[in-house]
Amino acid sequence: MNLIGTIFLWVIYFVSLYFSVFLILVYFDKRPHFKKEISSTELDQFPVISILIPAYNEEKSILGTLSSVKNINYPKDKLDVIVINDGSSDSTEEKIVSFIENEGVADYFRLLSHQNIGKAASMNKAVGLAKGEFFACLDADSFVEPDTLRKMLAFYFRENDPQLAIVTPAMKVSNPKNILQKIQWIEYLVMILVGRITSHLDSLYVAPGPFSIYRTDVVKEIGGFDEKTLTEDQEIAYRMQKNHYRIKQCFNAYVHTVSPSKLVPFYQQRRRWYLGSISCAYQYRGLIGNKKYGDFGIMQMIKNVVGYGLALSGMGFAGYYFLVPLYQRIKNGLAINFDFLPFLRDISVVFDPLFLDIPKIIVFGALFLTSSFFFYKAHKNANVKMNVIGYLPIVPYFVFYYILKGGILILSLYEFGRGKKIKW
Amino acid sequence: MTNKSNKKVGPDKNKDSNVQSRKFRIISKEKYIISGVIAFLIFALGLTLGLIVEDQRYEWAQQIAQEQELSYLSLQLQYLFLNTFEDKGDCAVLFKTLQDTIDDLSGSLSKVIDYEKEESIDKEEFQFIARRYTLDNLRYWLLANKAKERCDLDIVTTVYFYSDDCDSCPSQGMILTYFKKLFGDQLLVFPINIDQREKEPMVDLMMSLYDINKYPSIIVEGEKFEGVVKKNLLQDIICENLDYNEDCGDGLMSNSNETTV
Repeated sequence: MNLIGTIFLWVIYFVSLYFSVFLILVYFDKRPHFKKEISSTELDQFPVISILIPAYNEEKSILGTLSSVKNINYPKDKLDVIVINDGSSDSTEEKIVSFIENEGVADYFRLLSHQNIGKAASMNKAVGLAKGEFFACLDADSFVEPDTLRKMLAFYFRENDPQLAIVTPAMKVSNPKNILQKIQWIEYLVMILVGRITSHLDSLYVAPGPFSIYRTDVVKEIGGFDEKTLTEDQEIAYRMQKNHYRIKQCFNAYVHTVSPSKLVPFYQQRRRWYLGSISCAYQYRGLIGNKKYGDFGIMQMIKNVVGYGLALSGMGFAGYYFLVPLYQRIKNGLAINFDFLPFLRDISVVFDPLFLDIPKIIVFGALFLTSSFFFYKAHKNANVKMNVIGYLPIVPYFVFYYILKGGILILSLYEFGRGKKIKW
Repeated sequence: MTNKSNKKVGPDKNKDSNVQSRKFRIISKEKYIISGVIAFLIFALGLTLGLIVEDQRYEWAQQIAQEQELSYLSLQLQYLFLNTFEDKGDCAVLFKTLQDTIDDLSGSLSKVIDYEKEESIDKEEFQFIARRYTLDNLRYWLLANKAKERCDLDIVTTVYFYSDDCDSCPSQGMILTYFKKLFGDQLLVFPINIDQREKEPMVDLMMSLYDINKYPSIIVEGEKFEGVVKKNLLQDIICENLDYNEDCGDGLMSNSNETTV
């Protein structure tokens, strides 16, 4: 490996370790806060809340989403639900209509139907019609718990800060079945914890599509959702940050989202996320390392940029230590027709500590330990019990997931480089 | 924590309204410094231990080189001894010593090659050692040839020319290792890295002796084979040069089976 590549890799390792240690320090500094954050479902005021549900070909999950909204524990006369059929070509619209008619929710559910104009444009249209002081977006593949809205509003009132413009929920993967979904389930748990620490530093940079609650007038003031970007939920968060509005995560307001169970949809989802976040980071590059933005500029923006490097290096690492040796081994095996019998005649494997690449072992060990810390705390944080077996997924999670993510990043960049158009 | 602030206080009041709203923007300076120190310490620990290990590797290589030197001296003497006291000498002892030292040599050579691959290694030093091993290999090869003649040993010597940038060399290396395992003491392999020819004239000398311009190439008992010699072919070649080996019987049989089927 050449010198520049080596230096690049070590810088990436160092920065990754640095930020991991930083987040752990923040966690320990405010441990009592993270252990016992106040949460309440008691409200003394009930403002009108609009809930926007954009749907495009969601016939499979739309009814579940609508029922979860119907079951929200909140005065119905203060709810204003706008379901948007963004030119679906399947039976989404019929399902919405029959739901509104049959479930007795016609008083506060409305249907907005138009030709396909995209998610952001649909939401902008709905924001214009929204009656609420706050509005929530709910992707039609997600389900909200009955008390989530109350918890999030209580959070708004407790903070009592006009600058607080978005409160985000804690997202969980709904009903994971196969390995890919289970791994994502773990990933989301870790994201909740990291989101909590990030929220504490006022450095959130994404307002997830499932049930983030916005201040309506602020969204209107900064110009609504960006209709050109790939990830409007990230772009608006960046724009809020740029204008010094605050974004907070309500740590136990759970929303459940359907995660892709197959590789291709998973790839498509991540490709959109990664390319969207790269373009957002580029669009708001002025914030990178910008002291005016406090921890967000100094830590989060730099961390985001370095994150791509880490994913890429993870891929390179896998190639160097796993794929190339594997290829070599197969080639060697072919040369002797896979007759390994003579090698078994005298097995004398002597462990040679001089072989070990100590610097890498120490650094990766440290990275692994910090990640394990987050892995463990994330389970506790989300009230998920861990037994001995609970620790086992950590290995596939780190080994394969980071490789997978790196691979997806490289593929997406490649496709992007070839000028392929990507839609959400 | 409330961020409701007194709007009119302070010299900032003429600046844009953003200033007030930026109050929540803080920089956790202390934590940046502490985490920097911790991360640095972890790195420093890794690097220090790495340097210590590297030092150990070098010491180990030096020590092995000294041992090799001694074994070679002993071998040389044994050979001289045999030649001087024609009927009293013991070929078995010479053969045993030759065998052991060559095994040691190939073992330590593969270690040096692995060490060299580690990025943290001081390449110059290890290239120096590797060059030394090449020379050792060559003199054992010469001695082995002489000893074979003198003691009428049932062994096959093979010189293996390879290069680091040759794609098919690992396959040939694997095949040779395979036969080394199969034939054990009866096959002596002397690997020569031709990348060393610029620094080591002996390598050049060997290459021009056998007119080597392709690699991998192997010399089995003086006969040259260019390109990768496949497993079955190499087995035949080795067996032709051996008086007896049980694997040869099997090998030849299975080969003849293949041709008849």
